[in-house]
Amino acid sequence: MEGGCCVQQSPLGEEGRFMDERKRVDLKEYLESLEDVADPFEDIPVPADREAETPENPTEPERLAAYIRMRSKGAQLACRSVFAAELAFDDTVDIDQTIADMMADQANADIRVRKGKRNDYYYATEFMTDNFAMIAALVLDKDIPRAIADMVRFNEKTYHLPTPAMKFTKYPYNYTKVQVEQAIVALLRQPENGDIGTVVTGNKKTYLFHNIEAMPERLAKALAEDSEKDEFGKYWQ
Amino acid sequence: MFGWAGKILRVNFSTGEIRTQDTSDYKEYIGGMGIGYKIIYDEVPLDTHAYDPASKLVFGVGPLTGTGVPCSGRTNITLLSPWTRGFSILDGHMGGHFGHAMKYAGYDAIVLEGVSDKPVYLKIDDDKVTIEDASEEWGLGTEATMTAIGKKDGAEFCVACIGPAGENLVNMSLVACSSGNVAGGGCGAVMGSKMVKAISCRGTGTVKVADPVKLKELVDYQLREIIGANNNHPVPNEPQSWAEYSATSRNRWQGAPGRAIGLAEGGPIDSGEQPVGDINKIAWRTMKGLYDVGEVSLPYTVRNEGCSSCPIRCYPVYRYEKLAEMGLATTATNTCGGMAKTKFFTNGVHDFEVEGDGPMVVGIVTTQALDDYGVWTGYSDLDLDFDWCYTHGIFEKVLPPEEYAEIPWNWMEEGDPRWGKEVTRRIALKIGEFSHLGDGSYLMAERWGLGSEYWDDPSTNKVTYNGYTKHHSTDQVGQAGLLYNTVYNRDCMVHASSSYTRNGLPVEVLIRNGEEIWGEGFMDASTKEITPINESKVRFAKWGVLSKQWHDSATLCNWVWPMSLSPSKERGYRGDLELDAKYMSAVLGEEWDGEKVDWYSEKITQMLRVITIISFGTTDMRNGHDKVTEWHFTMDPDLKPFEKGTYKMDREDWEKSLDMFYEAMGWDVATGAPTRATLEKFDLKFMADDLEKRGLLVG
Repeated sequence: MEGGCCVQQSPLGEEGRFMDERKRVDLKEYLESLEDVADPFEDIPVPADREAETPENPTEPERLAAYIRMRSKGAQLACRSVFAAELAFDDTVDIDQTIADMMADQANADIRVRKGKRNDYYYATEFMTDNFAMIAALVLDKDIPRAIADMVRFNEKTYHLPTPAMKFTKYPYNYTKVQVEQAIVALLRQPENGDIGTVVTGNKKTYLFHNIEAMPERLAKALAEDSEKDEFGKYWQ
Repeated sequence: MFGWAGKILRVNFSTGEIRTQDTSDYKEYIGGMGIGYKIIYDEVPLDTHAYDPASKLVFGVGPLTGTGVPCSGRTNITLLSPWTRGFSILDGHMGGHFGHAMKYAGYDAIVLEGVSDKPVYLKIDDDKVTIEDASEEWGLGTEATMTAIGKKDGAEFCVACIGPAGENLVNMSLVACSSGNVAGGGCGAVMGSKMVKAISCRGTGTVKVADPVKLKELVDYQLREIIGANNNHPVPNEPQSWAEYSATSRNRWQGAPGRAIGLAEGGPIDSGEQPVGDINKIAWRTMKGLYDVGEVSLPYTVRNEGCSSCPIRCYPVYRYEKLAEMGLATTATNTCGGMAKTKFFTNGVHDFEVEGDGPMVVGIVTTQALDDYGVWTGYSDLDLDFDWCYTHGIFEKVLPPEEYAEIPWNWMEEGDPRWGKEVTRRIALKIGEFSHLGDGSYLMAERWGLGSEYWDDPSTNKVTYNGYTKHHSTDQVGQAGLLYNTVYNRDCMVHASSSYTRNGLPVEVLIRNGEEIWGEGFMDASTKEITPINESKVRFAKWGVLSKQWHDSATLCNWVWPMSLSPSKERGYRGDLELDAKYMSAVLGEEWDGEKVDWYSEKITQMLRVITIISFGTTDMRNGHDKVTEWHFTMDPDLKPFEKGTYKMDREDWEKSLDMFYEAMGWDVATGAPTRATLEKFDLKFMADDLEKRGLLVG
């Protein structure tokens, strides 16, 4: 709203002037102008701020672990197929042995692997959960029908809900609408996905559901309709 | 005095008397709603019309507001209803900064009494309180009023004001403060009936806290471990790398990588990931525009506003420049139903600049107009009523032909955003018969002869025959939702229960955690798999009621509170329901626990019940006030109650639900009226005696 109210007194001491008339104060400058006070809470660690540590003169397994943690902190899996290139390991480095040594080290108990169709995907549970790694691995495997089918089953088991098709156009899937539509057609043709069904809501949104006793089609349709409507019974846009 | 500011300000606009009273007289009612109920019960005959000079309007806050407790920027306004059946007691509530301003000025409540003989506003400058001339402001919208009074009094003053709707005694009217924060229930018109345009308040004091170190520890603990997003939703909508779970359906934690506020100063700001423990990222979790309007909102969002002491920031500020070409305001801020205004456009809306932006555009125009003119829609009562009346040809029947002809229906039919402002203008300025939409559903239905075809149509959302809509009811929480919806004299505003059952966490986790609190069977596997009533569901319903009474008295935001869950996997996603009590202990320097909090909540609930009985003039609440509309039992005609796919209620099960709820509340099972024993248990013997004198005491 133009012309707001409740404007706090300017820290520069100007009074009675509105936001649009007043010189904008830089917050950092203002904070730096204040006297320091002791912070009784400064020792409380903030998990997201902890850096993935690399020891001095790291061994290959240590370098590999640090790399995996760095990737996880950035919400990325670490793919086995690029370890050599990413870490500039020369031909003398036995990648499999390096991985084995890394995993055997108790200090790396947080590092896990998901074996996908295209790669082995490593992640550090200190920064990335198993469920997110599962989704990320499905995305990297680039088998969109399988990713969708697996997630539909996972969502019914975990959340007892059908899955909106357009969920897969969002982060971290980021598939296009056309990719999702084509993948649904493909997955419904695959015999192994005979347990997956679709319903379409009144506002033409497709939901996929895991067609089992706990989630019959009628319930899936009702829950999908529910998800598409606001508290006033009108469809969300 | 710790927590409380210490004074209640009383202003009589008939006599000009301004005096203060010690809050100690009211500490047993906590604050906010509790103080409001006590004052009105004691001082206003309950058959007084809301606009009578003898009525009072109580702005109240509680001991936690202004202390730094997160999400405590709330003000409760208590009044006698001008629009619902029984014309009983109810509350409006607003966020923003007014509650803090009041406390820092030294007041726990402000009581408006009498009526001025000319337009005035109340100026509170700490302990300097004056009645000022408002003849220049009378007739202005709320935005211009805030600006005008702000320029007169100073930028540090927080202005709570009414618009033309309040001045014209439109029942569905509001009090606005802090840009888009509004209190409804008709409080705008009560203020207008007193010729009071605004309260302008500056507070330079502080609120004393008994144990500030403990308070700081609790705040830190709450922000790092407990608080989630809006409505305390504990999981993000999109998967985030730190999060074990994410929501499959729409929820209120919408911040995610790739979702940026498009009009932020300096360029778009991506909301990124917001891991639990990182207190600097809490404000990026909610991104409310995404929930209310969808992704289309992002390029038009300037920032996320919020109330004092709140890290959640659930009020997006939208700007849509093209509206200037139509002579309409380009900027608005609101949340939830405040933006959902397509129900004023029965034929639908169209795209403007991008696909799907229609609801946002009409939402911006309509919500800005509503707030500025001071019209309150209820929980979409007004727009649902419009939609129903238009669809059923009511306007053609009841409007004089010449009035019908001159209304620009084509704007509505074409999805022209000017319609939202036009509807608002007509209601606020009481133009013609059409404006009786603003009387409120009960009086409108009476005036226009709307019968069961209206009340019992599920599309009106009416929960009872008292004249207001359901709010997170059977559609979200089954029988528990309907039980708590029957307790109030307006839409219930209970969020605790639905925030628990529908937030994105796996059902298994919700059930596991909830059974530890309410017992086995407290919630159903989904919203469309209702099972018969049980004791645990009744406990869950009662908890919803008590949470709301507490938060409207303490005053805390009853969207985000209570802290029933947490985004922390290490905690098993368990919240901390003792946190209210822990804050009370730290702030007041007294020993509080959850039981004590609940005792006071229940006391205030009993007061509400007593006042409602007196207003209705009968003890038979069961067949009167609490009678729910037929559609609860007749919806989804192809399905039976308890079948998968519907939340249709079963009549016998509903009667049993009432039996069990009444018993849990200490009310007579046959009537739903509190017994003497119950009232005396909550130190309300004076109310029991009063009921007995009136012949309204059961047992």
